[in-house]
Amino acid sequence: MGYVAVTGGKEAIEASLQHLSYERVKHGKWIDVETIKATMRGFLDQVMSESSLYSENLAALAMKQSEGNVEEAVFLLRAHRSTLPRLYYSTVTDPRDMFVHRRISASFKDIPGGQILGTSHDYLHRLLDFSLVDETEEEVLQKKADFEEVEVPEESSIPLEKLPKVMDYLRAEGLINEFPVNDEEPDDVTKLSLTFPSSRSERLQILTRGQTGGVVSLGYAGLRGYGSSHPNVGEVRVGLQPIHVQLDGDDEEYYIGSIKLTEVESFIPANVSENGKEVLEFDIGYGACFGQNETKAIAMSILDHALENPENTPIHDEEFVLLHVDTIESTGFISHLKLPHYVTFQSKLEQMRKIKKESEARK
Amino acid sequence: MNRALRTKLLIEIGHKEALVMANEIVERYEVQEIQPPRQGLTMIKLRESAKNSLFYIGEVLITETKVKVGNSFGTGIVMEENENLSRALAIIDAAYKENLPETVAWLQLLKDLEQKLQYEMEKVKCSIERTKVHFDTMKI
Amino acid sequence: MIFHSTQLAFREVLEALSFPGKINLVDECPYDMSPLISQTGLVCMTLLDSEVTFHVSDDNNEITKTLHAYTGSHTIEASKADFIILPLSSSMGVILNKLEQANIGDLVRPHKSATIIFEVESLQSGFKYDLKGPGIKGTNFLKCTVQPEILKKRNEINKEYPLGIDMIFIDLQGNVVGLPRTTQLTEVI
Repeated sequence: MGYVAVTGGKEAIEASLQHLSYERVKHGKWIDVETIKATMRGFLDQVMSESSLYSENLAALAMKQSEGNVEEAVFLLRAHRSTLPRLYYSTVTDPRDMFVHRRISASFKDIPGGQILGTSHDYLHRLLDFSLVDETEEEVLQKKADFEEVEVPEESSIPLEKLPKVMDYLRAEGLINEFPVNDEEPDDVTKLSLTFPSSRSERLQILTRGQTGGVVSLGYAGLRGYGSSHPNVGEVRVGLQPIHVQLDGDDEEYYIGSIKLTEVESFIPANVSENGKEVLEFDIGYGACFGQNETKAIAMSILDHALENPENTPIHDEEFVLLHVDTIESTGFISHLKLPHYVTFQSKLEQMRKIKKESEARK
Repeated sequence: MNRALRTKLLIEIGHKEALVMANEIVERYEVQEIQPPRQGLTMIKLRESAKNSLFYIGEVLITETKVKVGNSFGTGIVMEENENLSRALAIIDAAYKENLPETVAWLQLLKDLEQKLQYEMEKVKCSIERTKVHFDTMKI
Repeated sequence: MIFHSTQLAFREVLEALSFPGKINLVDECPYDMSPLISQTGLVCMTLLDSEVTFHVSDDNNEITKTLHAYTGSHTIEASKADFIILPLSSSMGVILNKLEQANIGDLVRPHKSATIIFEVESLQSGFKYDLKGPGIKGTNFLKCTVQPEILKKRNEINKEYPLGIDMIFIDLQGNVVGLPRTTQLTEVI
């Protein structure tokens, strides 16, 4: 069955777009991109991660344009990304070089460098703060000044720019299932569509740019019995990750800036065969994403481990997980249902009427 | 001072200095802009710690400029949109590759920037250290 | 802006490869690309970027350095290169050797083969060749200074369609001729 093109919507669409533009300005209020950038950290982090494009300026602009609609903002950024040339690949970026702002472990109390809470919503009462309703500029500046005046230790004692990892603890005891360094060039799902079985690099790329809600839901389902990867959070670290680029035939690197990154290592008990003997060791489930998105990164680590160990449940099924967590793919397909399906539906309707008539005739 | 540190200093705390340094070169030498500042992407290759393999975590927006000074090509790359800084970094890079005498005098300036960056980082570190948990055993 | 020049050059190269034997004219490159022919420089800026690789058959790597700086493309050995650039100064032995090494793709990915950018003295005089195949109504001809031995080698390499190499010739006047793998070429004696 072919599609039948219809016209007549042009004026209606134009008017609809005018309504849309009006909706954003009808209260006579506006927010500038700088303000969004300064105050909407959580939104920017989520959007940059899902669009797999790191730029706070563009994410803030996308938020303004989309009126705060995450799905739309991610769509705008993915579209914009596809218009830009990819000029470089970074050198190997290792989160061990992160300038850590927050690092916690749920597995060990006493870890080298300690539990560093940094910045987090985790320790809040989650009560709405009505004092923010009428917050004034003076109040904001006062709060800023108050914080900056707090006395801090005179000298730092923790090497936050080179903080040892919690997993080194287990490694020292020989309790980690260790893998040799693998420098194989990663696959890239932005250049070649995913085919199955997928490679590890493809899986991690899809998960890290996955829709936050999607990744978290599936990770949760994995814990609740639709999978068998039960992690202990070994380490969550959030901080600034320096990025370097190196040109051909050059032996020196260029520093190009730092990005905010969340990295998670989950410890998952596993039976490993060593010299023909089954021994109990820890596998690592890995999660990492742009910005501070801790729940997503932890869920990613659960899914990473589940997909590395295929089993007969949905969360261990790479097609089930990987084909459904991408925001553009899922929202794109769902929203295409809004497009006219007049002819397809008409044919279904006719079939139904015919069947109904026939069954009535038989009575 | 190696290039990674030099570019880090100029990008993190030396915007003003970079523009001044680049200007010195522009005033005294012919600088050919072979790639005017343009926006593009850099794909980040990340080392994951579970299997020690590599994957692409996503791209960052960058501004890139390329210039030629004498026989040397200079490249300026900086995150986000920043044409002036990108151009200045490219000119400074070319000046170093061409071994221009100006670069010798820049060393002290860069060392000052390095101290300043360390000071700023130290402040941040001290502030973050306040959020470190000090466990005590509960007394019953 | 350079992309206006490269867009025009792209149309010319596309036309040249669509109609094998047809002579197209490419503009000079706005930058000094010597010792390459200026137009070769522009064609390279049009086709090369950081996502592809190239190989230049010259002894000093002046051209390689220049191309990398202007295009961001990466240099690699001839057998793996997406583009092989044969400057005018290349000797017969080097040319045959590089063609021999050129990647012809595989049956799943024949499009992953190498494209040869070949500098010649003239595309209007010299040896005469008959051309047949897609993009040519009946027969076309090519008059050029490329030695029959080289094109014989090219025919050998391209014998197993869809595997093979595509060639772009550029002469000193800036003329451009395309010779895709689909063209059957015979020398007219």
